[in-house]
Amino acid sequence: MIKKYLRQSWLMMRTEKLYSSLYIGGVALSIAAVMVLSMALYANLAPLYPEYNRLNTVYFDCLSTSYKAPGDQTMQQQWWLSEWTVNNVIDSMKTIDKYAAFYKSDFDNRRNYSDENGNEVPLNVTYVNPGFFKVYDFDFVEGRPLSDDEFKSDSKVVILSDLTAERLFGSPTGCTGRLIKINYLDYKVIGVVKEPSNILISSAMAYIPYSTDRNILPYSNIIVGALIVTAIPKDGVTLQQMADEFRHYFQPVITANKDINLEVNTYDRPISHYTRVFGGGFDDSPALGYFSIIALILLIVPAMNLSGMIVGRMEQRKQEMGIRKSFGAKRRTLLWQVIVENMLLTLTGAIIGLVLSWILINTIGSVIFGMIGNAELPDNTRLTPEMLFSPGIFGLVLILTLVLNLLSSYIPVWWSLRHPIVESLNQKR
Amino acid sequence: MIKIALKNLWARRGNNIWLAIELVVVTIIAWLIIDPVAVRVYDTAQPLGYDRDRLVQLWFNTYDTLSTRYDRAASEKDIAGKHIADIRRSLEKLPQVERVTPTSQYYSPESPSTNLTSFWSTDTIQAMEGYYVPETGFFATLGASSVEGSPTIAEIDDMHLGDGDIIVTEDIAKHLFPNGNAVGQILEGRDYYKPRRIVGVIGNVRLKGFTNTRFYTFSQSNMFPVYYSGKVSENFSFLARLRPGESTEDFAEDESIRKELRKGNYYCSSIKSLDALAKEEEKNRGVTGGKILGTCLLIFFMGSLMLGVTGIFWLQTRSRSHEAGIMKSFGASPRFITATMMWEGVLLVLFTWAIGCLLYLQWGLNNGLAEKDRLIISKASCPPDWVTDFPVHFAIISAIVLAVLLIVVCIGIYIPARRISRVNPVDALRDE
Amino acid sequence: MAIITLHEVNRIYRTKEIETHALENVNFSIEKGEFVSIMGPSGCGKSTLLNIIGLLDKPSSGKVTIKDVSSENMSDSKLAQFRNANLGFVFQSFHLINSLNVLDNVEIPLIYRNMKASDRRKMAAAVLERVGLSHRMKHFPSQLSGGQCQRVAIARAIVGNPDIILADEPTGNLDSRMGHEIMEILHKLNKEDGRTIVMVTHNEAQAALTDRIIRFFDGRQVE
Repeated sequence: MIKKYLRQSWLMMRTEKLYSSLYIGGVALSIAAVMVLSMALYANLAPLYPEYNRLNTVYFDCLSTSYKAPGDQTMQQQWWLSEWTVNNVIDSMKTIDKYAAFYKSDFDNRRNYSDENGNEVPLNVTYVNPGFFKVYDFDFVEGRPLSDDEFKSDSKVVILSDLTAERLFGSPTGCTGRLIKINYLDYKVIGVVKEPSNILISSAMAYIPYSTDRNILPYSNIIVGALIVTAIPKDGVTLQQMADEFRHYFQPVITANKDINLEVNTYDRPISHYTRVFGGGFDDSPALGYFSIIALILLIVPAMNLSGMIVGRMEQRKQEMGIRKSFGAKRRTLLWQVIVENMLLTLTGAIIGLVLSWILINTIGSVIFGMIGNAELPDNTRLTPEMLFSPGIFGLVLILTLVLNLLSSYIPVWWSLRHPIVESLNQKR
Repeated sequence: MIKIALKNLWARRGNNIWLAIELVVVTIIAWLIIDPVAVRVYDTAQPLGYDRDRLVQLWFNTYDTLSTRYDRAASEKDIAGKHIADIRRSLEKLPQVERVTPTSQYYSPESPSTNLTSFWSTDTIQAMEGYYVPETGFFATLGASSVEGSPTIAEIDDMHLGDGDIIVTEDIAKHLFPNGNAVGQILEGRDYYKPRRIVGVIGNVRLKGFTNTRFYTFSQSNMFPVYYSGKVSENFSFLARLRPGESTEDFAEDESIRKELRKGNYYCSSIKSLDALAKEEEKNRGVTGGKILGTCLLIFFMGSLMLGVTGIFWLQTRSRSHEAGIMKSFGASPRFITATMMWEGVLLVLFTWAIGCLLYLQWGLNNGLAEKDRLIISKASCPPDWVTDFPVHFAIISAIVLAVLLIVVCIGIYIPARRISRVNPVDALRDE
Repeated sequence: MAIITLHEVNRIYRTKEIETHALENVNFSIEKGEFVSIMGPSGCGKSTLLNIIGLLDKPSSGKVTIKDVSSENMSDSKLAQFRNANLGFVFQSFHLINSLNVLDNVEIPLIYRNMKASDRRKMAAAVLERVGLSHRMKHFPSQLSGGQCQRVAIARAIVGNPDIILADEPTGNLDSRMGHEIMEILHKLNKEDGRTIVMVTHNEAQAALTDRIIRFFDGRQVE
């Protein structure tokens, strides 16, 4: 019987080309929009290499001080964390299991260069601490992560991404132990890692300990500085506990600097990954609730469109429904028939919508991913296949299709089947 | 014709109710999308007040002390200062370059950093604080404009600034001293900021292209070529205006220029045009993303609406053809029939738009309109405009929403309407 | 034995301003195997009567009994089931579904009996053979003549083996030759299968060939 309904639907698609096109177009648009949004959210929230622990990661990414400077002027500075704060506050916190402290060189306009073979190749460098490779689970093509000893001894070592190693040495292997120049200084390669997608905060072309050069980190003041800290909390610890502990550690320095009216604002840091993606930071970004509403509206508005079209279509089929009822069809049976018939159109639209969303992601992906959250994305955003082909994405499309079909069909069809049989039969075609 | 359109709308209210509900929802959505985008487009379209064309910024760093290129002798204060001056001269000598001025590394035009100052005279305002090196032609290089009653740009550039002397923009001067000359006036510091003396007024500038704030003050930079602590600058920046006809992108990408600009321990690490910096800032602040998201959402919803309107009216083709056949047999022209249907769309839009706007008004009265979303960094003051005037703001955006809806719905109706209007009366009136 | 009984049946249509008595105090019964014609001028209530007998419409008052089962308190679902099992309809305008082919149209009553697809097709093919249209099974209604369409409609009406066939002006849209063919088929169904047929008609000649004529005027039975 389902085959019969689908055959009738197929025939209708061929005869009522405009209606079918509009219906399919409406569904495709809706599915594409929701899929793009879902993929963008997925890329921001899903555990992706090497940030497998994203949802459990917390961020210390905002700190400010105010104090009276010489000349009676109040100085206010707001940025990230200084080395002092990392060493004396973060390192002492009992609620943290492990933490990464880093500075991405593309935050300011100083470029880094490697001049292997006399060619100056621009590098996006992230300056890190050893904890960076504990928080983020990198795949080492060869070599090893930064050690505590190397960090403490200010060693000039570097971990390259595989793509960078290939660009500089012609191959991602056989690089360990070699020297390269970065900003006219020799660095020894101690490891090569698989390069993460550059929509992730852990992405870089090269990783260098920030201890190697104090000039690497732009100056701020003793408390506020250029380091972002991401941390994995200990089991059972809440964000509130971490925020209280973080704030608590500044008390001694505030007390010691009463004469300059030192104030430290921690902005209730740390924040969760969710908050970082959807809100927080220096500027507000749309919240998760806003995106949930957008997703709902992206489904509901086209569903209303389709409902309107279905109402019209059911008007045309009133007589047919009357005939079927006169030969014994129940209202529920006819409802099911129409929903199944519409499913062919909806599925066709969904497939087109999915293909459309992949095309959009691959052409204007960086823009789309950058529209959500606080991501600062380069133009050459790379997307890995795992982001686009997860089973979850396909499953989501299927569910959305079903939901859209039901949302748009159920009420108008049920309503249109209320007509008495005689009225339906007597409808002028 | 309008009467007929109204009657038709009422007669088909069963079909039209879905469309009506959708139009109300889309009106509200259109408001949510168009309002912030319109404000941002307006803000970014305002005159910059300075000539950003052909302006590039160059950043200079120092070699690491352990680098093979590092020269200890060159780090001596006098020698380093001389090297900075040499670099400047080399830059000025480049054939593409018209003029050069030092600029603050962190508070230059279109930089990500901001500094706010707060002061009081006839009113308390907050302004963006900029820094420059006096007597280096900064304002002329920037392309700022002179203001009547104030020293000219050339005179301001030649001024030697004392402690506490500032240059302000015209909006500050007009806001605080609407009836008099701002030059020479003292501004009291607020929140422990020290008093300032206005020594010059320049035409309004928007040094952050994504905001509309034009409240700027300029003080003497204490970081170039030596820090106030007496230490020589390790990092510094220049603004260069290229000659007419020169491309800023070509200049910025020319690696030979960047490599040439080195002296002593200093090397050029980056060259970017101010247009490129402005685009980056817009992107980083979410303005570009917001505009694109808004445009995509608007296209989506209006596209959906158009599909729906076309579909719904198309499905009425058969029954309307019958009516059209009757009307034509009594002398109605195809244009009349098309126009009647278009009027149905217009009236439906007007009715539902009014409801949608009323609903949004309730929300807007409680939560404010897009003005509160303006990226006025840390609430630096801005002169009032239509954005801050609630009734005017509401009226303008409502009108934009109405225009968009009318265009979409009319296009959506036009295709089926034309088809219906071309029906042959005999065919339409024939019984089955 | 009466297969259809109407007792004091009234049908009143009410709007805000007007009350129309489409049927007034109708009382009659039809025996099993009878071929009855219902005649009367336009607007006299013939089609209304047929709709009520066919359980497509409910009387405002009175009782309709078919095969000793009263339709009075039947739910919509039960009515649908009863119609499917016991009644077959032939309409003046054929009322075929244009997007289905001939075989699919004929199968419609069997779909709502939850039969296996293969059984349905067999039965549908058999009745199409009977009405002489087995060579047109895959055609669509738009490809058939009026007479052929009505034969398909008759096939659809009898495919479920109902005891009662209700025909509302079955030859109204056909020329005399095709009308004659349709009447022949109906008589065959009555004589050979013993089905009870109630036919609304304007055609005196066709009515004269049936077992009984019931005449109506302004909603009232006059003969």
